[in-house]
Amino acid sequence: MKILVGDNPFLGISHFAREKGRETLKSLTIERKMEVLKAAAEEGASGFTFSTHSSNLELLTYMRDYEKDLLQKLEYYILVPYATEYIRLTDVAGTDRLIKNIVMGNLKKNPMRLIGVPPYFVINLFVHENLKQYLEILPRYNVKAVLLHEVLSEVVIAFQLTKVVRELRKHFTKLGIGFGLETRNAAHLSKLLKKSGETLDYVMTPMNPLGYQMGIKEESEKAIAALSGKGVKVIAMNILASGACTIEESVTYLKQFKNHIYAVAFGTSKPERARGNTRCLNLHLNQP
Amino acid sequence: MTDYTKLLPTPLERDPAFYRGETVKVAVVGFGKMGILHATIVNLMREDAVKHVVDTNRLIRLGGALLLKKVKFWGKLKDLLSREEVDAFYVTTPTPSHFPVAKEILEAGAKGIFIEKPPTANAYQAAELADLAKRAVDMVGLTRRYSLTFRHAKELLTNLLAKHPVTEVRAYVKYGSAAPPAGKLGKIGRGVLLDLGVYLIDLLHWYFGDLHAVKASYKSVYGKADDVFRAELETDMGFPVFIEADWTDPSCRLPEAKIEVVGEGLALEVSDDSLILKREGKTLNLYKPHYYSSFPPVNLAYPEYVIENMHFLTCLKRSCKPETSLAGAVRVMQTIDELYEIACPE
Repeated sequence: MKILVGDNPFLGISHFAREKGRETLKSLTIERKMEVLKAAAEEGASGFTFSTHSSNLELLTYMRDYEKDLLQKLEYYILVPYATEYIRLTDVAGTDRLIKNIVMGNLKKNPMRLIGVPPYFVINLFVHENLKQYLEILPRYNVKAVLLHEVLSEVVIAFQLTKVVRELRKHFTKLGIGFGLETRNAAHLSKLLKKSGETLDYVMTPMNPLGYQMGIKEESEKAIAALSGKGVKVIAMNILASGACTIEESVTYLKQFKNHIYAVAFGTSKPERARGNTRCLNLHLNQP
Repeated sequence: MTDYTKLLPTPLERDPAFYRGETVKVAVVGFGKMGILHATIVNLMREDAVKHVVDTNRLIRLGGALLLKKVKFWGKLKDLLSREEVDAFYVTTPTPSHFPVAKEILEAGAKGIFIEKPPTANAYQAAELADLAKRAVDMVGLTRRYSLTFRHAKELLTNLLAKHPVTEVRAYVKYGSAAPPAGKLGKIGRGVLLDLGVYLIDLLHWYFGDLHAVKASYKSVYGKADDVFRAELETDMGFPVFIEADWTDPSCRLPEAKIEVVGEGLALEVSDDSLILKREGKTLNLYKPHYYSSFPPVNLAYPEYVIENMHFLTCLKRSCKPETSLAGAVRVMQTIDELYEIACPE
């Protein structure tokens, strides 16, 4: 099972308490973030999962310039877009203007590609535009997956937009990158994939002993098993229930699903915790 | 582990089978951020419930119709009202148009109507809508009432207020959304107090009963309306309530609300994320994951958004008034009007 470092603490995001996230961010320099990634990698973490926030671009640029070995060593699972930025933009300018800006922006950059094409292509271009700068920095072979952020994934699931999924998957397959959805509604997603006959390369979804952000826990667990049974690589996120569970409680829980989980992701702002958590996850989830 | 779903408005909302029940026909008026949010939650709870979307923007209608094949897009509300049967309308247009849109829907005899907060620009409009909505299942999206942290605080305060008289309350709501040009409420000339302060005023009314404006001040940073609003209010029990609404705080990536209650031998701090109660030398410290264990049944944004939609659908099924109906919101809007009337620039 792969172990990935998540970026939430790097962005000041805490699903436990927002004040805690803000406090963390105050003391988090780029060097400190590097220490976290290095500590986890030394203990066997193999990847970094992050959203397309400008501070992550800054971090990856720093890695390219000063920590090339680590950049080459890690695998990358990218969440796109960084949703909060767009939510804030809708607050300022309104959703209609934001959509217009996205469409017009893409039109300017890709005039020939947008004339008379279906909206799926606009979505592909929107996603691709968000990723472009990251893909220029990262070693292409190490970019394992692009995952649609939950804000869009849940819309896809709720409105059964399987064609969007198909087109995006096709787009990234051509680039040699896996495609998936990040969702807090795994049970609904599993049902949709079963009904439509579509598939995904990856699904990233919360898995923790409390069932926090999992919907109805038992249903979500069954869905995870079903997804993995169909060859979808399941990445368990929020494994510590945003800090309400210990790593020991988490591994005891995750052990039950060992055969269904492809990777686990956890976030921390502390190098010593990155080291300890990776060691514990490796010991309990990867021993024969 | 304690099951905090007992704090939900009705026991029906705790029954997962309910959400797989009968279908409901929903129309969303205004397909911006909030319209998409509610439509997604409703569709996750009840498959294909969203049948219609009304939006004046042609680009949204065109793109929406191409993507959402099972949804019919309309440019004019009156066309939908005259041609289709709908069980519930969600009014998620920009605030200045809540009143005319909701009025048109209610006058057409709608069964159910959900109006995003703030329900109207002022109390007069809210009262007119409440009058029209007497026979309808009408709800205002005062979301924080459906947050389990704030609901828990309500339960604790109801039990503790007699033993521990309150001496002072401080409350704030903060966000960093408003950057120039912050014109979303421009037409009404009101800003952060109406848009975000409405959450606080609603919660404070719910916790402590009537509130009376004592003094108020505001600061305009980006335009002419209030971007920071500070006020002192008084309850019928005689203790002061200090509030602050501010959408210029860049450290808050999403809106945050917090209420601190200080009483004799009591300190209660409740926010979107946590509840901390200090009483008789003991501390109770609870965070979001403790409240939302294997609940709610679907997830999008914060759990309180899902719970408010669950409550609305429950009330629609039972033909009863939701907790945050227009009638209750009128008093909240009156307090907001009073505060705007006495407010001076800082």
